[in-house]
Amino acid sequence: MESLPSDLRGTLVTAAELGHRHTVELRRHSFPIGVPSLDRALGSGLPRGVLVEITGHASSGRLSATLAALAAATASGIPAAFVDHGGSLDADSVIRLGIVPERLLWVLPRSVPDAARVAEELLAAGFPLVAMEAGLPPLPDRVPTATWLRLARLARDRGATLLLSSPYRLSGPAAGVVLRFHGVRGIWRGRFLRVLAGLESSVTVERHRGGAPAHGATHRWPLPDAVLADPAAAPPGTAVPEVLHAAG
Amino acid sequence: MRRADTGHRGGRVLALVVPAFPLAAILRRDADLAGRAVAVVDGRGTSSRIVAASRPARHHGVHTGMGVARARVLLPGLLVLPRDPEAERSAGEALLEAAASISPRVEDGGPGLAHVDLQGTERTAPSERHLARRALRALRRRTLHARAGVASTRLVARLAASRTDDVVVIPPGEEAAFLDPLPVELLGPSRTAVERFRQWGVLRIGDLARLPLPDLVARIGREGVTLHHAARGIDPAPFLPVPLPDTVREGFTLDWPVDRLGHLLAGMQDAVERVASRLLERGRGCRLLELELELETGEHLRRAIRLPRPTAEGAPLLDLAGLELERRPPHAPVTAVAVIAHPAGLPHLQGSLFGPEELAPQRTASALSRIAATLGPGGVGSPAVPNTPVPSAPELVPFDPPSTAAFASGPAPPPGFLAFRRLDPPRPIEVATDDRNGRPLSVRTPSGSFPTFRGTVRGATGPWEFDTGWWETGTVLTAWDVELPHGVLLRIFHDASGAWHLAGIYD
Repeated sequence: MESLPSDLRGTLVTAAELGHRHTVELRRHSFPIGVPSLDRALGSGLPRGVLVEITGHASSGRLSATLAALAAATASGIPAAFVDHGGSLDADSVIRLGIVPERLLWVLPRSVPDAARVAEELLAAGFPLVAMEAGLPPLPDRVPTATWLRLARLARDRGATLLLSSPYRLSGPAAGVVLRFHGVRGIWRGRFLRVLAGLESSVTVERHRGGAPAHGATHRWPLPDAVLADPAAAPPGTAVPEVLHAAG
Repeated sequence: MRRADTGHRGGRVLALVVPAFPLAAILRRDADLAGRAVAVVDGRGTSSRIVAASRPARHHGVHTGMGVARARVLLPGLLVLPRDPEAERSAGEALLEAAASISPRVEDGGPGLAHVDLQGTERTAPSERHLARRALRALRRRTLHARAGVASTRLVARLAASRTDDVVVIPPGEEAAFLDPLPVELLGPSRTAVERFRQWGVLRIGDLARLPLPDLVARIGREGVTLHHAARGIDPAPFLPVPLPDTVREGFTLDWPVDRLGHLLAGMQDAVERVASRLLERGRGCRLLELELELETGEHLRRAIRLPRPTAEGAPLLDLAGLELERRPPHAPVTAVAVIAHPAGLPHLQGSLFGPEELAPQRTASALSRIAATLGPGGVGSPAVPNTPVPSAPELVPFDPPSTAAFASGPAPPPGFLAFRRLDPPRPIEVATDDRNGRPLSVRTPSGSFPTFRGTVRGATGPWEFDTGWWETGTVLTAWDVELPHGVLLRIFHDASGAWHLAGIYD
């Protein structure tokens, strides 16, 4: 580089610099979830200015993904809101997932339409990341599609991310990104005294208007005293151990 | 106590006078009455006397001190209203508050009158007239119309303010010349003294000032000293500044007892807006809103509503008041209402140039207040982890995120731990167990309960025991983690009675 003429040198960058610029640009336009397999599946995390809907039944890992996104945002100093229909937040989960409680606004609406109203207020107030947990089925109160479209438009205008977590699709055409989580199985460790070590779930990117490849990923959500192997990191054709080791 | 506020010591005083104060207080409460012929009366029945009359009423000859019957003869369409002590109290507070925006040394001169010590304010405005006009603007923002006078003594300033609708400034040393032609009654002498002055031919203040003081005292006693000093523009009484009330209060008496919440809230709307406007004038927000209700039965109810973040917006305050009254309605018709705001600093944050993005404090406070108004104050805050070994829900504490300027990046969160979805309250669940070791074999939620789970247990780990109250007996909970078909992971527990519950789902 140093030996190049100065006018040419000014137009060139190193590969490292290019990679760094790319990372910075991506972060400006997305919220990393902090789960490498999910971030890879989405391109670079949750895109900003978009309504992202994640669906999944019980033990699918969708609450873990939602809280992981909130943990990543609050830990990097970004204030976030969790609109929690059903009051699903658990004190142990707050600590375990590394959420910074002072930066998290926790709202407990009585119904899904209330939750949508609250999410609208929070987006309008400037929260960059609003996660809305719809709770467990059945969800008797329906939110009109026009409301979801309005919320999506508000998220776009504010450059914010509205993360909607629901047991089944709620937002219709308003969602810019749709992820579907499936619970696969629980992961147990110990031969004689078997202890729950985590959960394996798979995720499918069903829609991504930003152009990320619509593919899936598998993630193993560990409980804190276990370190699980990442199946995506294993070379093809090799056996992946269930539990790498038990922490402590 | 300093005595530098008298004419001969060089102090300057601004007097703010609200003419027909009982009427002004009612017009603040009910702006629709502006421009109508209105008289405010004190007392009941035949003994009631008019204490204030509007300009259209005065135009027809109605004046203070007149009986109601006589006034109605002069003006049959006259609207007669009783005094409203709550409204007068609020207007009095607003008057002192506006005065305090000029100088912190404010004296309460009685109903509709405030004195401001102008010492030390010279550099805050080009002239005393500018200061007086600023005070009148502050009053207009509080829906009070006043007159202002500036002089070296309180009496002269007050009399100057009473002369005209504009600001009157009496330059230092010209107090005596200003007072000279004014009628002696303006000094407020007793009836006996007035009679004596008439007998002596003393009709103007200047005449009184020229009388020898010893002779005056010999004839009318101690009152002679006070009147003689006043006539010469001397104010020997100390200036007694009053502290501004800690709270912002706006109240009013209802024309008749109201038993419908909608009507009550409609009546409260203006009062709440005035509270919000006064808070904003002070640069403060409301952290705690109190409602004082006087009932037809003579009882007084007091309701307190804590806000998630201080706000100076009227709409969420009214919504919260409405929610509170809807939740716990008064048990008898309401006759008077006072809305009291406990001020707190509005949230301000120093943003960071390079740090993460910041929330706008005012916008956040308003949004949180509106959310609290929708959900109730107990539904919004930050999660605080309770200090207990027993699995529990976080507690809600006020949301007050630290500034990003002070943000220090901590350790990165662990990548993707498994979260636990609480069910609050725990749901009943039927569990078949192995008689040998108590291990769950199958689970089933009762019909009609949600969420629904049913199936053979594929894997189970436990029992984990939690003592929820070691100081009592029978408080030990025995928990199991179980896996159902399709990878559904549940935490179930039974208490000392053997009843099984579903605590939550690993999700």
